[in-house]
Amino acid sequence: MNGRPNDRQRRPFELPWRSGPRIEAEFEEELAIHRALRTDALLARGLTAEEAERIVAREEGDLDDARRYVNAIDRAAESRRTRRHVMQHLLQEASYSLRRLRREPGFTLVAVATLALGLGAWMLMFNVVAGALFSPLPFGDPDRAVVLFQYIPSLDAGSRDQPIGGRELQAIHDNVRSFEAVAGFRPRPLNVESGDVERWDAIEATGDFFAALGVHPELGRFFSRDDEVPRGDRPVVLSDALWRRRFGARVDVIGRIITLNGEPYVIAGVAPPAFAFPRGPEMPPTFQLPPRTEAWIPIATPRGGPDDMAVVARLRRGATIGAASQELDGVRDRMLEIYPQGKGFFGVRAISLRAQLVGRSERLLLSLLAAVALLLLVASLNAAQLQLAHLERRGRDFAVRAALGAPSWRIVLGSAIDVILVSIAADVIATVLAVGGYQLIRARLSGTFPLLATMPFDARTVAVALGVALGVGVMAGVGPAVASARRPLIDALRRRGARAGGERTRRTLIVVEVALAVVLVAVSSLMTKSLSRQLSTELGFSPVNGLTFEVTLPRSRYPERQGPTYMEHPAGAPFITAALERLRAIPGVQAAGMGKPLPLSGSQEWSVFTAEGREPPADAPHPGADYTVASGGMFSALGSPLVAGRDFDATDREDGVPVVIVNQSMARWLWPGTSALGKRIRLGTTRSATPWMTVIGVAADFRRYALTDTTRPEMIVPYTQKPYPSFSTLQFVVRSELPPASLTPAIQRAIAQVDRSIPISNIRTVSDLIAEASTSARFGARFMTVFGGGALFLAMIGLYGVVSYAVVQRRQEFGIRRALGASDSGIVRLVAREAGMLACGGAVIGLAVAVAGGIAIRSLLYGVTAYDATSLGASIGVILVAAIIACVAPALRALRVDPRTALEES
Amino acid sequence: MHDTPMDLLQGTLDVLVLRALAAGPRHGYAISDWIHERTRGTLTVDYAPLYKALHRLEHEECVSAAWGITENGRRARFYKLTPQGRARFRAKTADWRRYAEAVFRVLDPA
Repeated sequence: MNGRPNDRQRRPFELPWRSGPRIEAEFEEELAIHRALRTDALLARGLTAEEAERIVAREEGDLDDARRYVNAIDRAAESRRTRRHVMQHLLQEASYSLRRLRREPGFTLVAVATLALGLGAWMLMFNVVAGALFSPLPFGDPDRAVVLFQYIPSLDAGSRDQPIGGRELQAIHDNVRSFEAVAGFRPRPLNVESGDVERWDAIEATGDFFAALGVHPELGRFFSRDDEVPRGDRPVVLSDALWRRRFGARVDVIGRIITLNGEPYVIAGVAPPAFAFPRGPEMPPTFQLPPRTEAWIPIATPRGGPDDMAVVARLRRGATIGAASQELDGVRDRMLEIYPQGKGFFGVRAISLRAQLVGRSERLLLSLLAAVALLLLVASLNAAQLQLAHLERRGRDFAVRAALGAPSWRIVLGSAIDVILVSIAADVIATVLAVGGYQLIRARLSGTFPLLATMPFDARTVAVALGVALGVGVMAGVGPAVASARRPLIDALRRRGARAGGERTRRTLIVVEVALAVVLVAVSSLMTKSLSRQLSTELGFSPVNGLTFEVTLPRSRYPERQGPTYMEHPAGAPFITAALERLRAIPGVQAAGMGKPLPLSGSQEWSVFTAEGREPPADAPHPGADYTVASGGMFSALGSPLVAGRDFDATDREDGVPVVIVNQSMARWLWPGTSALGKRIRLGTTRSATPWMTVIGVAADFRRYALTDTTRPEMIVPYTQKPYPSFSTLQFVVRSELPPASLTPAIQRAIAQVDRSIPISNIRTVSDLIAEASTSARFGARFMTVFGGGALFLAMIGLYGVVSYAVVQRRQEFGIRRALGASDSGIVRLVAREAGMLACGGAVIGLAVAVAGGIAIRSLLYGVTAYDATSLGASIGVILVAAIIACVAPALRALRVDPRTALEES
Repeated sequence: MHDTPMDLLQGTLDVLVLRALAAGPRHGYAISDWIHERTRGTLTVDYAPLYKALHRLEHEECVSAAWGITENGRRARFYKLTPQGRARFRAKTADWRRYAEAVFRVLDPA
């Protein structure tokens, strides 16, 4: 103990920490000194050594308790002191760091902005994708819920999934053991006639609907199979949103009687808040379901006829989709035996409800997530190379501190804090941007991705983003700092050595950055081109000044009845006639028509038909085509003049000659090379008793479901001649010379003049329909463009940084070249070569990856191939232009190098 | 000239130690010696309570400690009042005066 140096004073850079054993040893030393001093005093009073020793031992007594107490309290004091000390050092380092960062505002701003851009975009996109794809479904045991479609393999992907007929539904219900519940449902808008007249987007469903989905009521009860046959008032179930909006969330609405479509209903229950199934965007467009469902009413399983429905089922515990599909194939085979000449039953496909709800957007969303991850990578690389450069510039700073005695850990801590400050600032800004952006986007996209609407921003992404930022910093900042701490001081002081390594790393980073930017720019230009191809497809109609709306005719006053061949609507047709007359009388209206359905907005009927003189052989399947009911004036209101023949008019009466208009695809298919006019077709098979219809006109091909559909053969018949589809929901289109929106009040008045109790709904301009049909393509193209632009910008900053640095480094060389008579263009060429090598290297690598990226998103592209030369060429061009811009300032600086000063510096 | 030794009253030690240090930095032995002398031998401070009090006061940041050298060349741990300790000393002293006066008022003949 005596040998210990007497310098317990702490040196400024030493860690202030006493270990436990040292605390104990110091206390023992303290006690020993006390004893020694006391002994000295006693000896001085003339006592003998033995006496003194005895007295001291007696006075001292038992010290064990004191030892424990003192050691414990000293440890506590020591650790508090240590914490305080570390805090002090950190604050001091932070203030040094802030000073360093302030001295380089350019670096600080660019590094923070770069990281914030990458992190913010990533957080935003991650939340959108996670929200849209992985949100919990508002169903009990959702993995057992499946949806069933009639599967028509010959049709486009967009319309291949078709509804299932009542007969088939009953057969599935009776025969498929894998399902414990099966329910059909279809839209049934409800006009509310109690209180304010309004229309609810409602669904009619068979009794097991809620059981199949595994949902339980929030209030009251749901309907069940017992409610399929009406006894007394029929039950209606309300959505939570409707219950709050229309009934002020009053509990006593349960049991209240309301009039819907002219019939009394009793409010039976309220669904849980998140439940609004089905929602249109989640189901195939062919079903034309409402954006979200507000109410549900029960119906009996329809018996045959054109009563097609969407179907949900619940797998029995332990049953698989595979097993269910096999049983469904069995049902198909039996149905085909019983009804060989039926409307055409091609089998039923079962897919999990989750796959149905998110499957359509999955690839787009995951592609965007991949793209944003690349952007984050570009941002990280850029931040990394900026930090490398920063630390190199600060190297001398650190060397000075090392020379003044700062230990190397302190140097490393210093650079770590630079990195941490930049990372935190970037994370904060990124979080603000991402949260704000998420609120905006969520509101905009909740129509396309309904699950997103209820997802809050995931705070964990903020932590992940900070982790990424710090990770980037540690790789870029701390590694080199450790290396430089080990490097001989004198080199650093003289600003030399170990520089080539850092420079090489930076160049590599830039090449990778440029390559990734090429990939993103190329993919975004592919998607943009695909979008513009979609928007410029020949729609068959024109969006100018068209307004569409829907009305629902309640069956109570507009009954449908079974006619000799098809359903009849004795009151429906007069309503349409009267409504069109009133609509055409509105000042400014140029044309008005009814179409069931209108293009891009209708669930299409499809029917087997027979063409005169072209009957198929007995064993061949019957041809079929889309089937539309329309009024005269629909084509002109849609801005789609007939290609040949005439429109429907007043002469096409119920007792007149049955007529039909076919589209160009149908005309070309059936009567290639000759005129279709005057030819005859009829619905059904050769054995059907339906009347022959004469072709009076040929119409343009419409895009029916999506802008990317291929067009299909279609027959259009006048509403006046007993067509079979239900008239319960009708779509009208009005074209005027006025702005379409200003027409709404006049249209409302016109319909009210025909029937006061009928509200109009789904009022949309034709341009809206087109915009809605291209929502996800626009969403994808826009985000990709932003990501591509961001990556390009970052790559440009990176190139600029590296080239500028190279110019500074080569000042002397430029000076010498100048002195030896190098021309301006010679100097510029030297600078351009610096950037050109990096940009071209990156571009070549990027090009290869971009083709792979294009192939990965092939299914999202329309009218463009993955290796579209113009898109790829354009992205390379853009990168090279960016590289040239990045060289301008450094080149000018290189030109201004004065040979004399440059040489003097050496 | 020493009086008969007495036991230390509960809660007295802190104020005595603080008083000892108010006169200047001292090590443990010097503090106990100083108290012994000032009380003319009435009060003796044992090792255990003294060091417990010193280290507790150090933890409470009323005193700070540092190793130094005594007059006769020995290494010892010196304690010094901090500003916080000085304030504690003033407050404790005032408390003790009031307490003692109250006790005297009771004990003194009216």
